[in-house]
Amino acid sequence: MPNTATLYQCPACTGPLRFDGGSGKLACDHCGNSYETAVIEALAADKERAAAAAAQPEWATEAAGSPWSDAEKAGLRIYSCPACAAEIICDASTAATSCAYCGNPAVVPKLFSGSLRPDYVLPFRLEKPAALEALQKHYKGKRFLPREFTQQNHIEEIRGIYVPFWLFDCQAEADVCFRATRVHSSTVRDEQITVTEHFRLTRGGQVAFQKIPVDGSTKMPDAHMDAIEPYDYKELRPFSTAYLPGFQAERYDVDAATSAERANVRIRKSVEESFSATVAGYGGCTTEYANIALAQGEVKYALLPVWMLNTRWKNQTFTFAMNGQTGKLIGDLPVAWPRVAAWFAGIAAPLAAVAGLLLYLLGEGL
Amino acid sequence: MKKTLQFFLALALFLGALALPALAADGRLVIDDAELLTSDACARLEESAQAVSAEYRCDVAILTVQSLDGWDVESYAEQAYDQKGFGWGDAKDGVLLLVSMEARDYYILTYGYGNTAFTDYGKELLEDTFLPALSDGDYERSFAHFIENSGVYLDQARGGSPVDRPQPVPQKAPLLTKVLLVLLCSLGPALIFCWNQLSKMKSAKPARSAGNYIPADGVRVIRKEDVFLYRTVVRHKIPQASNNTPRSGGIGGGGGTTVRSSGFSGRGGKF
Ligand SMILES: [Zn+2]
Ligand SMILES: [Zn+2]
Repeated sequence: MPNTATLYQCPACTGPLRFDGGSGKLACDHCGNSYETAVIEALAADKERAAAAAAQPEWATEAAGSPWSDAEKAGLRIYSCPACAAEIICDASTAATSCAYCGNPAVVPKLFSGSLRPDYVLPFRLEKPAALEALQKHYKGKRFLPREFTQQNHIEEIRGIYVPFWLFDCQAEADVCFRATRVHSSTVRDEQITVTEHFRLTRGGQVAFQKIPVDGSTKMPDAHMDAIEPYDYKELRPFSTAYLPGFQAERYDVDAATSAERANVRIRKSVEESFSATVAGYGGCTTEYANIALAQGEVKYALLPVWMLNTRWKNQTFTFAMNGQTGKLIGDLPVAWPRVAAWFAGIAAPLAAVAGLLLYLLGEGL
Repeated sequence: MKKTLQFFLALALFLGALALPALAADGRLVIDDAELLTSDACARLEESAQAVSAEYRCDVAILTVQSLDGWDVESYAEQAYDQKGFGWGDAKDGVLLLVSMEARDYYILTYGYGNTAFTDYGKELLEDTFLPALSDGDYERSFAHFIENSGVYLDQARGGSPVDRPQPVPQKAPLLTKVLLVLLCSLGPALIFCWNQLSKMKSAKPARSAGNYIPADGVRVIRKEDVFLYRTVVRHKIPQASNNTPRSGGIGGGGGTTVRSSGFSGRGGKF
């Protein structure tokens, strides 16, 4: 059917495409490009796939955690904090004297009930002094930290907490489509000619993810929990109450299905990154869509060790978190803006003087 | 093209030799073949032309003719310049004003040092000094102006600055640019340092990807397709400095003298 008008649009200029009987291609009269029919069909299919790509992968969350045994229940106490509603699980020998999250000293013992038994626990490796030492180190080399902050502030609380985490395991089955360009530039007489070639790149395959941690606690700031990653999972042990004495454990208050959203975002980003890493020899490369389906999506419930340090300064609370296994400590610090201004001026002023002098010396030539 | 030109030049010289009787080579600078001047006037002009020429070692000459014998004014002027032996010394430095009555043509022709002293723009200005009188038929006054002003031009050229189009003075970088440059050199590094230090103050950042949790050889790409779609072409004109006109006097930027391959330069018109 030569010269039959189609509904296809020219990808270069959105003009209507016309089937050219002579070449067997789809031609655009507007910009002069012509395309293989298969290419145009693939591009049309891309649009549908891009619409489908927004779908969230499904996780089998039922497998996470298990019920507690009666013996375990007998050895555990649960406290609830009237101030922040945290529920703290303690070994019977560890009396919870204050809330691990808000510091409220009046925690109420409760009857141990329901909730899931973790699959794994990662034991604490670092003790309290290590956390204090790490904090001092954290202050070091921070030129904009107010001096009074380090001198006056006192660590109000320092607590080792087993934080509830959902660990997401999966094999992501992915199809990612990129648009890439190659730019050639040449000069012919008095014209600069820039030719941009446009390509459609597809990458399909699998990316495996092992135990992406997402904290299941609303009390724990997400940014803090993300920032102290990663943990060394080689030390991950099947859960046992034997690891609890001396520490408090929080009971999750965000379920696995809700936490999965944060895992999905990270998986999507990583799939795009690892597939775009296989794109070579192009200039610009943008993701058109990433279709990700999960195979063997599995969620586990684990307790991971975190040291939480709180300090108050000028009526503000500063929270630091340390990975109880690796010792990585993070936390935002206050900024002494007068110090920033002083440093800024201290650098800019001499440079301005030198630049001014150089300009003056070269002045005649300019 | 060049060959044809040479042929015509040779032909012109030959015909010129026939057309112009051997009046040349006697060192005269004012030749009034059209008989526009009285002999007294002619003598007075000759005297001042000789004086100026000797002073600046560059001939200032005037030739009047009744007809160009069918030649264009430019070619006629060139052959006449050679034929009449105008030009100072071996370098033949000089300026010639040719006036032809037939079609009321005039032409200022320069050669050698004349090209330096009489720039394109200089010739344009020089015209204004003698054209009004020439148009009025006051030939003696017109030629007197020509000789006198040629002297002025030669004097300017001797001083090192021939009369030429006012050159755009190479401007110093404006103050604003200097201030911006200083600000860039000083504020830039200060900003980078402060930004870098400030970024250290914030360490509680949410994770965006999960690269840490991809095991070794966890990425397997099994489908891979790169398809060319289309090309777009953008053409952009490059602005170029016009450097295709050779100049004497070594001055660029709109001034100077446009010298032909024959070594002459000139300017003419009707009066
Ligand atoms: Zn088109
Ligand atoms: Zn609390």
